[in-house]
Amino acid sequence: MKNIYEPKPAKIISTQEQSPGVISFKLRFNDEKDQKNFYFFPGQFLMVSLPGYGEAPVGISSFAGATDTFEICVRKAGRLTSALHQKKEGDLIGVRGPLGKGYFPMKEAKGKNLLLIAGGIGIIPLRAVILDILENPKSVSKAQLLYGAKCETEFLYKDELKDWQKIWSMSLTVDKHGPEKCSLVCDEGLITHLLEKEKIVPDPLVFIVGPPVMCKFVIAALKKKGVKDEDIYISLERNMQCGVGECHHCGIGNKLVCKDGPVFKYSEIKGTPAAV
Amino acid sequence: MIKDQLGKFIGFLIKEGNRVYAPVLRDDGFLVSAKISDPADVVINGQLTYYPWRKYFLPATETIFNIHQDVLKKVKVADPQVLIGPTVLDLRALDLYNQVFADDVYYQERKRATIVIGQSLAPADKREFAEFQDKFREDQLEHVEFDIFLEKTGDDEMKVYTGSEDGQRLLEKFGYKDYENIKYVGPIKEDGVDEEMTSILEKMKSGYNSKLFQELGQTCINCGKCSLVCPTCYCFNVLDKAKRESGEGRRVRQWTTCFYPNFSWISAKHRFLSDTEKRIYYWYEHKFVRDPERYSVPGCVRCGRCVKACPVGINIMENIPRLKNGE
Repeated sequence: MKNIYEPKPAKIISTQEQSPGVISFKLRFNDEKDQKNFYFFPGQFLMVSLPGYGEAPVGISSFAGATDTFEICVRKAGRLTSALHQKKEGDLIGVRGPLGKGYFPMKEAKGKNLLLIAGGIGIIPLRAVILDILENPKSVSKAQLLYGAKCETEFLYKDELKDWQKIWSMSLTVDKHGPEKCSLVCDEGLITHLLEKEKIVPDPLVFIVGPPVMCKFVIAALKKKGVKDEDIYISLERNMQCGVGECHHCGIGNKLVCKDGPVFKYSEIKGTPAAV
Repeated sequence: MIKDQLGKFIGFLIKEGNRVYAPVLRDDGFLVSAKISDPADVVINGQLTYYPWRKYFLPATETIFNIHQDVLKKVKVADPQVLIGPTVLDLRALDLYNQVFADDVYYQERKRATIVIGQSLAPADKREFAEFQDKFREDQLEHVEFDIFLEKTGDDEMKVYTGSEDGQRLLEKFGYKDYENIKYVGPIKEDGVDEEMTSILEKMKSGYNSKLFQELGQTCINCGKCSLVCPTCYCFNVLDKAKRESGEGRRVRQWTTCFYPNFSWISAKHRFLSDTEKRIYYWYEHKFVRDPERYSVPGCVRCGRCVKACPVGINIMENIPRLKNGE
């Protein structure tokens, strides 16, 4: 019987410090067959592990069409992530996944206006969506990104933001301006402030990834603008131990975030106690 | 089968090299399951053990990989074991586990290596007992999985059923032929899913019962004893226990409960179940919403173990009607 807990070894091809305490990893499965069979949808996640340090869920940040590598991005937060940050090119890490049956509905976005709202490291899984649209610019009508961080240094993928602007109407904001200047125009204030200030694409399909408190306020602001519950997709973060629907740490109502999510249509979870 | 024969059968099982677990009376008066070396210690009296039988399928700390020089190594999962004494309610909890852990290699291997000998739960009152027995076979035994089942028919007598070929083989080898075989037809009864389960589910989904849960949130002390004695609680953590210097250790699954503060903790320093009311709601939600909707069987088998264990007197049997009324 196949063991759903068995991680597959993946080799670090390269690493890049994205901001203080956040490193992106380009990976390739050690076994060619594993790499060949690896196919994911933007929004799905992986369980990454190092023997002796444990396992944790992380979002996949690369273009889903890339076949020879995939990318993750990890913020140093605890024992495992600190150990991951010590790893160098050529080292191995354990990977299970892709996991989750709920992901961003790229098919449904076809021909529509797409609005992405990212808070902090919430940009990580949304980058997979952004790269998808960069590759297929005609697949959506208009693409807009609102991206907020604590200060300028905390933006991830700084060297890519300019590229993104070619197709994406992009607005950045920081909670408070820091000492580092941003080469791009950057507002000061919460992301809800951007939502009020910027001209938002009409009738958008909205994808949200960010800290729980941000999501709550963003949804309220979107509702005020008349966006329908069915048009809002949100990626939920939860404590996950198994990633495969057994440990039940990530329950909301009748759903499990690891199995049924992590991305949910807002209309499906609205009103569920403690969901958003 | 009479009591005497059962003793001999247990002796036979031990002689065959099985690890045999059955209820014994501990010196403090608690009925608990324990490893048996002398059949005379076994107490088959139709009563529930204080703790559930979960640990024989999902050990409190279960090694899922050994770690050797910083590499994960496969583990040998299970040695053969015989469990004597789970009641129908305990077997219903296994119905649930079978579904939750359908893809789980550790659970499945352990289950394959386990012989389950169930016993009927005996109501204390004699008249009640006659009625109970009447409906028993059809209503219950077809819907739980076991290898052998002992139905109490008199003070020292029991009727023997088999539910698997393994069970038949064991009895035949022992030299007992007077058994009936019952075919397992799945956990759901002919008249559909559990009605009480459905009505609680509908009520809980239609709105949050704030009165009940505010009250429970004020009473509950987050000790987690209810989860420890609950046959259907199965939440666990996955963690590595290893010595950093030598790279030796193991990756384990370890029981936990949603009442512990770090259960819902995420790295962004946010705790989703931030107070007792949210935690006890999560516990009820798991049993009465998530389990029934995902696995079509109730997440509570009404054994009442948590009522006995709760130090502050929370009584699920009183709360179930309140949930049903949505008061």
